[in-house]
Amino acid sequence: MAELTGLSDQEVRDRQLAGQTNNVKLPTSRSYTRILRENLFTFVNAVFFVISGVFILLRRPTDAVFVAVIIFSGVVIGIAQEIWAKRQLDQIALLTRPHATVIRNGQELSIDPCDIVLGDVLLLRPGDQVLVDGQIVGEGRVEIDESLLTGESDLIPKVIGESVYSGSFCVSGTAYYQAEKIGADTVAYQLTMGAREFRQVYTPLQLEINVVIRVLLLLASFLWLLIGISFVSRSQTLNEVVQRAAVIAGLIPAGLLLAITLAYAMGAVRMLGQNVLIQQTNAVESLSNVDILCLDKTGTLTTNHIQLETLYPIGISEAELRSRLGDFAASTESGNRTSEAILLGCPGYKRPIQAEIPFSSARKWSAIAFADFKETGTYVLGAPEILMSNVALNPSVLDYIDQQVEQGLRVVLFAYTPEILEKSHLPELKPLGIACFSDQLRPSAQETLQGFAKAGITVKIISGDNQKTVAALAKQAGFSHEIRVVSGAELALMEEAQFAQAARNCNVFGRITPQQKAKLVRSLRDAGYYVAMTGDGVNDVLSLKQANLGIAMESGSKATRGIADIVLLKDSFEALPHTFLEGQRIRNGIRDVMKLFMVRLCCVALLIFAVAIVTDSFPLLNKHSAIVTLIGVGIPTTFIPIWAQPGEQPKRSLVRSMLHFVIPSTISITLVSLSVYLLYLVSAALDLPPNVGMTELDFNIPRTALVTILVFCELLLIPFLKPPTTAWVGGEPLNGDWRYTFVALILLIVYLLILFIPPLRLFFELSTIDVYDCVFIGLVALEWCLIVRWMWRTRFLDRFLGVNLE
Amino acid sequence: MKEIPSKIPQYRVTIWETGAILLGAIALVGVGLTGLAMKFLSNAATPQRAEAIARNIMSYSLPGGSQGLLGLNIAGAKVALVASEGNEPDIQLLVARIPIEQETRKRQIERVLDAISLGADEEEFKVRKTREEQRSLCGESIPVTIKDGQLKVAGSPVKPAVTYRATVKLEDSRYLVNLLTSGQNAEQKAAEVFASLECQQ
Repeated sequence: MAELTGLSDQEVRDRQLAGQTNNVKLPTSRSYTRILRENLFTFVNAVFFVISGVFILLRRPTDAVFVAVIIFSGVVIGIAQEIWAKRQLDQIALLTRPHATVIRNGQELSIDPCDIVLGDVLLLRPGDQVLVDGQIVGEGRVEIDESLLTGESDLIPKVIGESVYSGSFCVSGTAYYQAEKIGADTVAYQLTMGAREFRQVYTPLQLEINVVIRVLLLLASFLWLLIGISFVSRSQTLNEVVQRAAVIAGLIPAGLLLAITLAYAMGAVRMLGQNVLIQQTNAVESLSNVDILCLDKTGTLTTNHIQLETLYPIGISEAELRSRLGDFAASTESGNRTSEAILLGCPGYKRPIQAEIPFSSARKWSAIAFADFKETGTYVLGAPEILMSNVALNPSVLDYIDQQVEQGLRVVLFAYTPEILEKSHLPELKPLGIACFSDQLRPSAQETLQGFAKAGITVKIISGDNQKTVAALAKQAGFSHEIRVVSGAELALMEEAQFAQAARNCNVFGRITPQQKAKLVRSLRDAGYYVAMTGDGVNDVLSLKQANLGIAMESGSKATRGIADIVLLKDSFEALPHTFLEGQRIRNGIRDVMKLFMVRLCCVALLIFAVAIVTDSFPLLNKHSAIVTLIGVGIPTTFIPIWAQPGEQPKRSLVRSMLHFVIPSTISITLVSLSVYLLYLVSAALDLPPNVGMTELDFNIPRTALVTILVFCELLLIPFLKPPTTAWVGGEPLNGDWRYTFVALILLIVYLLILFIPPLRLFFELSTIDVYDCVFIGLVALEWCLIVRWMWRTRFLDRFLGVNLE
Repeated sequence: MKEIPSKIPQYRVTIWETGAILLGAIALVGVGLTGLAMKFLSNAATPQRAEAIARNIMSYSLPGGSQGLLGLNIAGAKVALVASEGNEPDIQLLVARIPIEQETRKRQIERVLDAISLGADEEEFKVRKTREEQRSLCGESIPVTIKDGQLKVAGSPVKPAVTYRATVKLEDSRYLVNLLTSGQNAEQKAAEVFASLECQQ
């Protein structure tokens, strides 16, 4: 292959000038335009803009400004934070993007994939991604996984003249290919852009929140329709109608989805500090859902620093064995960690090769026929249990293998056949020796495994190594009290049901082929588990794709990194439990935010109906709704995701998990606030001047009382959501964090200042209510606390409805 | 990172706690209703408000001026009691306006009005003669029940007294009038006051 010289500098320059470069960039994160569009041009923002415009026409500029400020502050904060997160992620993506190895002027150069020009000759090694479409040149031979393009998992051998396509990757062998299609013409670009354009993948949480938002949008549309009809039929003023439309628009928690996207992006940026690169926004969501983690032994439990420990010659001297093994490792063109370890322990010469079958995880052996050896034939290196059917080993050798395996060593058999092997079919072999390798356990392996157990995640080790080796290492790492082992050979004999049962019950899987690995992951997913899979080698690609969440090591192959949702930078496997907890933390924060949102939305919606039925009026004005939202929900929910804590929540739907908290609090707040509203409405009716009819009743005092009780109850709901002491436990478990309660107290003071400082009160169109009324409403709110706690603790609604809401 | 527990512990709720919550709720409802009742009574007894309600029902002219004694405004129905100036007023006028849509509640309201109507107490007002005359009220000719008798008020000498009682239906409202005059020229005063009545829409 040495004769390949590639392009000259002049040729490269000419092609660059002709625009024949691979200079197309696939977006690594959301574009600026998309960020602006998704934050600004939403349906709800459009409604608010229209309402704001109508307020200006009605000469109510404060209302218009207030609506606009609320929209724009949210939009500006959202855009600024997203752009910041995007820049961080883009920088990291630049650091971790693959490099291309090209031949130019007869020399290997590592360049950015954007700098590839048409006609460049590129090197392809195991684990490398094919970066542009091209044709194999030179004498090399590779096995290519095109499953990302075709969905077929079989490896495709490629030799000179055959085409390779971007998006596929090399599993074994080494070869060169010449770039024939670059940039936007490549298969991968077209596939990726098409996928990006037509497929927007939402996380389970996002999907549920989408449903909630759409239901609320339907409700709001229905109410808008009613308002429109009442405007025509009951000749209400335009101001009244717009006020009501604005309050109803507030029922749609449009900012929630963006807030969640933002929380994920912030989480991704935070995790960078832990050397965890989140490649998919969904990954954060996925992390918090994972209940089974499938590990490959190497690189996770062990450091993947393989060392040759012992040699056991069979029928030849140890020196002879070392020499032949050394030559084998030095000459192979599909080197791996094992061949590197052999080479360190057994120096050898690179010899010309007559034929080579590269190592693959599916075959579990490799073979070389040297061209210059006196005795023709093929040397085979592979897993003893795979080669055993073609080689006769005496009992002492078998005992030796067993002993080594039980110590956690990787054992390979070196054998010989006088035939020249060109196909994967093995003839009768003559054993030459046994080589045993050690792989060091990571110092933090035990702690990491304990971290997973603490996060409620079941770990399963799936490895290509001998199951006994894996089990021994797992034991050394303190993996589990009960290790249940099964081998790939045993799995191969099982029927579907048995296979699924083994996948569920066993926790150490040895001598597993990539296909079996993928099938195990699929089987676990089918059983209802949310499965994460870690991997580093190309043999893990299939299973990473099958998993709900793929995790790759930075040192792993480019292909693995390319398809993974998460990349562990610096192979920081020990960061993973922390990352799981971070995922749980984010999800718990979002869940809490949703609870407060839902209580407010349901209360306001119920009050709109209840007040319309009881008094033929509308409960709130635009600014009243805004103050209830801002103080009761908006400001507290900015702190909740920041202070959220990890903790496993039952794996069930978001809405279902909120019922225990939301239903009693919604019903009780609605009833209590409706009672307060009616009390003050009757009081206002009693004060009605004699010459004024009921239609001219001043609703401002009842509305002020309603806003006050709603704000009080919503603020008192915060300690119930995050109980600082057991006295507040009922709707949620004890949290012990006083910060939320302090925020509620501060916001209570802020509201009282608004209520008692005339300019602020006037701005928010609230009426004067005296201190006694305020104390009375406060006492009602405290009584509500006792009632709602009683409802939660006695499971009153659960019993009444005959269902378990928790 | 501190982790939160996922399970909410079961807490036993004692009967005392339930009772206390119930009592608290009853107390608060009581405070609220008491406040409303006090406001209702206080408003009802405010002379200016009572007179304003009366004038909102009917315009009238009481010799020597008038003072409001009681004014009620309940769910669209208005009732007011006014009297002539002085500590021992010799003219008392009870007027009410009830929306026709509340006809179903008419009997209840009339029962209330009967209870508070002037001269209803037989101990106080001894009827000598009852007659019915056709008079004009608010532009309608209606039968008016007129009672002559003696009014005995504690601490005062017995005086001659006359009551007028009438009701008229105008558009979507029913108007009720109950007039009591006493002392010298009671008959004349009653006739003058009754003649001055004009329904307000």
